[in-house]
Formats: sequence, structure tokens, C-alpha cells
Amino acid sequence: MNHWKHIGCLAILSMLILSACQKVENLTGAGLKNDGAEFAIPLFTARTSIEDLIEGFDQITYLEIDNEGLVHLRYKGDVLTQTADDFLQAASDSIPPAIPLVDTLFALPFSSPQQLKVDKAVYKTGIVRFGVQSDYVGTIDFKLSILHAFKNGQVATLEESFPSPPPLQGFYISQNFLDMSGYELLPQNDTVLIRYEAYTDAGDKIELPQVFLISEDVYFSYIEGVLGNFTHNGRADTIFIDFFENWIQGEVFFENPDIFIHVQNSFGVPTRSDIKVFDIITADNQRLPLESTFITDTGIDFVYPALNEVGQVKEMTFAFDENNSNIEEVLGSKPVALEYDVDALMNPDNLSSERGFITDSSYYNVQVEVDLPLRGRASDFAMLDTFSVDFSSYADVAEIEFKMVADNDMPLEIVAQAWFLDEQGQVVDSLFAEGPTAVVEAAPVDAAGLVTSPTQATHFINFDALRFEQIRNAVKKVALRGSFSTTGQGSQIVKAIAGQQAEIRMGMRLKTQ
Amino acid sequence: MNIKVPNHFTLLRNAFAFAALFFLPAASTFAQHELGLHFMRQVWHSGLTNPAIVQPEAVSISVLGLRNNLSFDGPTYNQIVSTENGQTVIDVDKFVDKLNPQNHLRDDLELNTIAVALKFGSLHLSLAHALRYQAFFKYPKELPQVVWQGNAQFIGQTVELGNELQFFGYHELAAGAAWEAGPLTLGGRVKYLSGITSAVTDENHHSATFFTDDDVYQITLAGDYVLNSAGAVNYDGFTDLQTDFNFGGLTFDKFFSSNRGLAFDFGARLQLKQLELAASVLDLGKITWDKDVTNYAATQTVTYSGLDFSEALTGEEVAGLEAALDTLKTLYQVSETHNSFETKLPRRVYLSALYHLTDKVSAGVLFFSEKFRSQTNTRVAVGGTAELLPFLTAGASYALGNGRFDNLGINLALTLGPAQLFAVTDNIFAALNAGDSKDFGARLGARIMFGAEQEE
Repeated sequence: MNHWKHIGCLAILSMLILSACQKVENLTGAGLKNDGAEFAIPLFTARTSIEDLIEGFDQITYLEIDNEGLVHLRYKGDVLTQTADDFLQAASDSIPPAIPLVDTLFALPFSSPQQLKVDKAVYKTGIVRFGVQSDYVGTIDFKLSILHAFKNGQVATLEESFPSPPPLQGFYISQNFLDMSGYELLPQNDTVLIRYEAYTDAGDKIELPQVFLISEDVYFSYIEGVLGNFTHNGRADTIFIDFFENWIQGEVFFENPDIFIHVQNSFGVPTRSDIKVFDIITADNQRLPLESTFITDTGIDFVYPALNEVGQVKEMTFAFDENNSNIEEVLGSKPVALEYDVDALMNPDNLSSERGFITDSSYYNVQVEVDLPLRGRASDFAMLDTFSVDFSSYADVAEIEFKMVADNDMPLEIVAQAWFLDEQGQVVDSLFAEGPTAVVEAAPVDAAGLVTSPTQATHFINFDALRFEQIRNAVKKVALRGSFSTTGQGSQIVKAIAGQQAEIRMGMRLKTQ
Repeated sequence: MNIKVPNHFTLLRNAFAFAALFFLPAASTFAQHELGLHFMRQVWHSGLTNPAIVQPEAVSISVLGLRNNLSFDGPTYNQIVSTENGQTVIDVDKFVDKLNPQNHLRDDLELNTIAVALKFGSLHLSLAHALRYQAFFKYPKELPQVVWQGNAQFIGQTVELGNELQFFGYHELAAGAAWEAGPLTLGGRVKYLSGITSAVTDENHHSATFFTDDDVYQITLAGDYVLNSAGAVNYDGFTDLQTDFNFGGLTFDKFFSSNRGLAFDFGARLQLKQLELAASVLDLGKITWDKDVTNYAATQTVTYSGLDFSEALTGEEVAGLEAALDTLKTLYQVSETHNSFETKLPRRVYLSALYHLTDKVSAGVLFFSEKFRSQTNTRVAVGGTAELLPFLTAGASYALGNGRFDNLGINLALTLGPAQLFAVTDNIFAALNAGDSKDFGARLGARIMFGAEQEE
């Protein structure tokens, strides 16, 4: 019997061991219980500098940093180019295709209705023939000389013999022609002397009833003299100033803005701007004309090369500033575009004594540039942007506390608010319950507008379980609004210096259920 | 602009769970140190604690023995597990609360498939095969704290998350010999080891710190952590971690793998009339792993400051969830090499004195020591056995160690003709009250024996 007791003990021991095993086995499907974990994690860092902010607005915007480190926003328009083609074509077109020579020595007047008085012209292309009417019977040896046209010291001469009378009602046009390329035309007293000589078979010199100088394809490569007044019609252009693209409210005032007109000119004649349009378009869709005597009265005189500077390109920059225009007024009104149309008037004062030149390579370029130095003041200048979000994966979150830290060494106060929107764009909640909040104050500046020390601010924003539940279930978008004011709530002139930056960092502590 | 808000805390938890995954599979097994077995001289398996302990039978064949051992510190089952609404629930907060600054988990699993022992006069020869898995995990309290309670409690603090890990399994083919020279018996075993799987942190590179900045909670992870794996871990980013320890799996497909090693056991036993002194040192050896080896090294210092939203300030598209994942992957960037590595077996020492009060009753003392990596664990035990019946021997042991004083063990051996069954545990209270214990273990075994010597 005792044997069975011992065997029983062994069995009980085995059962106990198996019982212990069973306890551990229970853990396999066990759940976990705790009062909720709390994690602290960084969410994002957003760092931006003056340069970053501006570069992001527009592809054609660029920055220039002057000697003081002051940042300039610069917006350039297209380069508007005007060549001499129109003028030279007009000059060539002023030469009749057939000029009657009423005498064997004929003084051809060489001027134009545009008061063109040529001292020298160089043919680039063109041919000259003669045309005659003859009733002489026999062979005529004909010679035409343009006595004021030279090439390599030789007078331009065309000779040809032809049977007379010509079969076509006595009219004959020379088969030969004279290539005028490279010939210099040097009129004397505004006339060009042309002589013809006609000889019979017997060698007698005769006069013919009609003689013509025929010009074809004439084009000059150089014209010198009093070139008259000629209008170059420019092309309209628009400069878009996207700095204000996302603007919704507030004021920005730029101190000492400029609009530059850059000119490159190789016309050897006095030329003056003729500004047809120079209007600022504002963010609220107003059109404000730039007002200046240089627009309405005097125009802008372009520099030009002198007679001994043929081939040179002269450059100049004219600036509209606060002294010669209402530029601070128009550019202080949230400009989004500058529309302009600038023509150029050659020899604008009609001076007969003003002698100049034009070559077939002469041109002028006009480029308009807006310079907005970031030295000024802004008040509640606001921008708005919207992006999509998805909080659906935060199902276990019971509570969230956001922590925002902002460091700022820009002279701009940043006021921000984020609205949580549902699918229809309706506001479900907002980041700052008390309304738009100054995320960080502007860095203080000295009398010169330069930042003296950076600022820092810290904010805690709590979302309890109920509040976050609503956001998690409904919110699909976040609208972020930021407004900027310069130091002193926009009352103080400040300078934005290269390298100045602001950094906003956000982390969150979240408790899980 | 379209921003997907990343579920950071999930990602973070995944990252921390990367470490936790290593030890969770081990938590479902338990066992005990081999103290009581040493006193069971009538059982062939006692020779596993000293190769000089031999049996008088000419032939012994042992089949399907099993030993499992688990010890840990920290909370007990009953301290953290309860039943709520019919479901077993682990209280994570209590678990963390009960942890020590540094915590250990140690587990051994041994499956003795077959062993044959022969006696030729004074010479004893044996050949045995066993499948052995061993686990060691040392981790700081902060590791589960961060995983389950979050890092917010450590804002502004540098948290040490470094841990030591050694999981490996191997086939052991042991050839033993013992020689009885009068009262002195000397024994030894040479063991061919064939590695199955392994995941081991480098002994000199297992530190990692975690810092949460109090600014906006930027996270800095500084690692000097190298994990060597042989077919056990496949890490392809912290969101793609696969483990294949197969802990305790009975597999013979790597019986002769190229992950090889040798180990030796030495023992001596001196019989001075009724007093028997024994000493042994076991498992002097190592395995060199060179098959399916990957060395994962996280040795950089990385700070994660959240997504970069700078572009958003200028109205540009900003990175979404994918970028956050990329960033976190970078944070957990791990380099991979494929260099062989070694694992030393935990060295064990047994020193004992046993007094045979009668032919059927003996009692003694035992000193046990184990060194596994940098940890040395010692136990002192008293114990004895008594033949209660011709076919039943029972015994008990009492040990001090692991900060507990309730390590009372019992053992039984049942001999029915040529067959012998035995069971031993070093902590009966663990069996009686597993929920309050930290030290578990048992060995079960059987043998068939022939050619028993006739008692004079």
C-alpha cells in the first residue's frame, strides 16, 4: 500500500510541474494592461531665412545683398531689344526704284521727309541699272556714273552698248548692272551727282529723250548725318511681383524702393524714352500709374556713342526713386505687377546740327527692374495656405500636448493660427483656442533698423481626449495662416539682413489609451 | 501641399520593440539548475554533473530525457498577472515597477535523445547525444519602461538601453570515459558541438543610449551595439525584423553543420569510506559560427528632430509619412557584415561532499557555480537521497541563491526491473506555487540498464 502512496506522490509532483507549465502557457494569449504610455516625440522643424522666404515666392525673383548685407528683392522684366532694321529699311525705301535723270549731269537730292540729311551712307546690298528711251538708229555706247559713290577710290560706273532703237517702244533697260555692295555714298550739299554719257557709232555724244537710274534691293549698312527723328516702337511687358501672391491683409511699406531702367545703346544718335505705360497693379487690383516728369515731360535720354565710337555699346541705368517719382506710394501698395510700354524717339529735339550714325548692327536694349530693399515696415502682413492631413492612424491616442518653440533673429513678428477643417472646409477646431497667437516676437532692432538680439518663445497647446477625438474623426485639412509685422508692430523701419532666420520647432507628448 | 501625419508613437514603439522581440520568445519556458540531480548517484544522468560519477551496471541506455531551466529576477507571475473578464492580463506597470535596475533572464533547455554507457571493469565509456538551447538576457529596467510606458518620463535624461543577449542552440555529441582507480575515479568527456542557430551581442559592444531633448523632444540614439546572428535574425529595417530562434525545436537538419565547436568536461571523485568528495568542471569550449552569419552593427549617433517642414514655409510640397519612415530608418541604420564569431559555453563547476550514512541513505553539500558571459551565478545546496523502497529512491535539496531562501527541491527515482524513471526539481515551491517563483526547473529521464553488479 505504501508503494502506491509513493507512486501517488510522484504523480502529484508531475501534476504540480504541469500546473506551473500551464501558468506560463496562459501568458501566451494574455493581454497587456497599463495606465497608458506617454511618448514624447519631435514632429517637425521648419527653418527659414530671409533668402529662403523670398526665393520660394517666384522663380524670376532674385536676391541681391548689398555692401551692408541688406537684402534686396529684385524683379526683372524681359530685355526689350530694338535694332536698326526699321530705320535702315525706311531709309532704303525712301530711294525711288527709278529716278529720271533729266540731264546728262543730274544733281539727285538726298534727303527725306524725316529730315534725313546723309553725310555718308554705305551700301550693304543693292544693284544699279539704267533705263533709256532712244530713237537713234544704230549702236549706242552708254556709260552711267554716280559721281559721289566710291569704292576703293573708284567712282561707281556702269557701261553697256545696245542697239537702238530698242524694240520695245524704244525703251531699254541695261542687261548689265552695278553691284553697289561696299560703295560709299558721299552726298555733297544734300545731293548726289549722276552723269550719263551716250555715244553713237560715229562717236558722237548724244542726249537721249529719257534716262533713268534704276535701283534694286538697296540696303545700307551705315548711314551718317542728320538722321531725323524716328520713333522706335517698343514692346509692352509685365513684371510680376509674387512677394504678395499669398497676401490676404495687412500693410507692407518698403523704404527707398527703386525701379531701374537699364539701357544698352549702340545707335550713334540722341534717343529719348517715350513711356506710354508705366503702371503698378496692386494686390487689390488697382492700377496706379508711376508719376514722374521723366515720364510725362522730359523723358529719359539714352547715352549713345559719338561719331568716333562706331561699334561701341553705351550703357546706363536710370532710376525712378522717391526723389523723382511717387514710387514709394505705388510700391507701398502691395504691388503684384508692373506693366510698362516704352518707346524710343530718335533725335527727339530735331536738332539739324546733331549729326549721328546708325549701322546695321546698331541696337538698344531696355530692361526694367524693380528693386524692393527689405528695409521698411510691415504690419499684419498675412499669408494663408491649406494642406491635407490624416489623423486616422492615431486611434489609440487619448491626449496630446503640442510644444512649439520658436527662435527668431529676423525683425519680423510671426503671428500664426491653424484651423482644422473637415471635408467641406468647415472649421472643426483651431490650434490656438484664443485665436491667432504671436508665435514669436520680432527681434528687437536698433535705430538703424538692425537686429540687436534674437528672440525665443515657447507655447504649449493641449488637446484632451474629447477634443482630439473630434479632430481625428473629422479633420481632413489644415489651413495655416501666418502674418508678419516688423518690430514695433510695424511702426519701425527695419532692415532684413542676409542670414537672418527663424526656426519653428514642434514636438508633442501624447498619452495612449 | 499634402501632409500625411506620421503615427510617430507607433513607429517609436516599433523601434523599441525591436529589442524586446528578442527575449519574448524565451518567456514561455522555464527550468532549474542541476543541484538535486548531483545527489542522485543511482541515476546515470547524475554523471552529467560530473563525468567521474559512473553507474555499476554494465550497460545503460538512456532515452528521451528532458531538462528545462528558467530563472529570472524582477516580478513574479502573481505580481503582474491577473484575470479580468475571463482573460489573462499582464499588468505592465507592475511589471516595470518590480524590475531591478539591471535584470537577467536565464534559460536552459536540454533534450537528451539517447545515451549509451558501458562498463568494462574499471573503465566506463559512454556516448550521448543531446539537443541544447541556452539563453541569456540582461537588460536595464529602462528598456521595458520606454517600450511600454513611453519616453516622456525620461525627457532631458539619457537612458541606457544597452543589453546583453545570448541565444543559441546546438547538437552535442559527447564521448566520455571514466577510470576507477581504487577510491579515485577520474572522468572526462569530449563533446562535438554542431550549432543550429545563434543570436549573440558582442561582449564589448552592447551599449545604447536614448536621449529625449526637453526642447521639442528631439531624440538622440547613440549606439555601440553589435548583434551577431547565425540564421536567427533577419533585420531589414526596424519595421521588418524577423527572428527564427526555434527555441527548443527538435531538429536534426543541422546535425553536422559548419557551425562547429568542441567542449570538454572533467571530473574527479574520491571515495573515502563513507565520505565521497567530487569535483567537476563542465562545458569548457566554444562554437565557431560561420554559416548564415550576419553581424548587425549600430554604432552611430543619430538625432531625429522630426520632419523638415522648411519647404512648407515657402508653399512648397513637404515630405509625408514615407519621408518620416525613411528618416527613422536612417535613425536605426544598421550595417551588416558577415564575419564568423564565437560563443563560449557557460562554464559550470560542481564541488561536493557526500556522506553515505548507510547503503541507502546519503547526504551532502554542494557548491555550484556558472559563468555565462560576464555573469557568475553561484549556489550552495545541501541534499540527500534515501532508498525508501527497493524500487523507489527519494531525495531532497535545499539551496541558497538568486536572493531566495525557498529553494527546496525534491527528487524521485523509480526502478522497475531494468527500467528506471526519475524526476527532479530544485524548487518544489515553484511547482507548488509557480506564480510566486522566479526559479523553475525540472529534469525527467529514463534508462534501461543491464548487468547490475551483485551486492556483496
